[in-house]
Amino acid sequence: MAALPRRIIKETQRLMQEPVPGISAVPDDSNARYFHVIVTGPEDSPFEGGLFKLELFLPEDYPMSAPKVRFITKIYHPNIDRLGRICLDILKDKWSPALQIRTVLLSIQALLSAPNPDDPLANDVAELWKVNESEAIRNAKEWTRRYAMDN
Amino acid sequence: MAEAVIDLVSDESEIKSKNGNLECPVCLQGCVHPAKLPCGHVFCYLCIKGFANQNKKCAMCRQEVPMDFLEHPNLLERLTLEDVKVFEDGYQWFYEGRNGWWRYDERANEEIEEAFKAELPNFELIICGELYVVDFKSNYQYSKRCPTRKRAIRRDKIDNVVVKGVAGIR
Repeated sequence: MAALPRRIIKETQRLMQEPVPGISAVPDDSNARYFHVIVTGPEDSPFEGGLFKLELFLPEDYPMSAPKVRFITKIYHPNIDRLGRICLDILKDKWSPALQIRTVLLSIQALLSAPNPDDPLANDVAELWKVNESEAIRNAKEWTRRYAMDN
Repeated sequence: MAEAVIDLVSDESEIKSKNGNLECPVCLQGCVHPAKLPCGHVFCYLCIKGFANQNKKCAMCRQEVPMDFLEHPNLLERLTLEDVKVFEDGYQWFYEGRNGWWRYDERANEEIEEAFKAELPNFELIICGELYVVDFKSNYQYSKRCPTRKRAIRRDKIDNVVVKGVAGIR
């Protein structure tokens, strides 16, 4: 395998030395471009108390193109679909090479605190979130309990 | 699509690297040939070339990079002949570009030499955000994404080469 670009080495070292509270990202033993990620559900959100697993992959042309990130743990959220794909601008056309693994994961954690049902990826979830927010939040809490706790 | 709440500019901190240079927010290393965009943000010249070729916007604040910036960059340090390290035997690395030979920047020069000394047949190097393969058998450098984009390279003494500039800077 080709040597890892120095930027990736540096980011990985910094993630280990100064971890972000509530977020862990550990490179895979056999592929240093693939990270095992755990994000804790933010306080005062329906995801509080949950531990959400994600996978993050740095493509060959990173940082000129965005990392590929996906939720592995099932989550009830209007901007995350049933395959765990995330609809977030900085992962698509608003990507900038000055963003890092750290800032991407912080943005995803912030997305859990601030769902945006007007710009959905999971249409049925977004629909309920708009017409009956309290029921949607109940569902999100129930999914958090069922899929993101005690695993 | 949901909009990220992160703010690139407020996240900005001027970190100095070990050699005292400003840290480039793109390669996360000390700036090589630091250049300042009109918005005030500083990056390596080649890192600017990387994102300017892609979407023409500053990586920190997304302000547009002027059309002629790469031809006439606002460099913070004057280019001198001593900028690129010459190895013990008096040699350094060159590549063929725009009608002549150019020197690699300091960092690429050292990375290539390291691989050459380790007797690797080839090795991968990021230039302007694009992945290139340096092949020591054929003495070519080619783009991994588009292998027909290739350039001759050579390890030589400066006196044997008519040099156009360093890494695209005249």
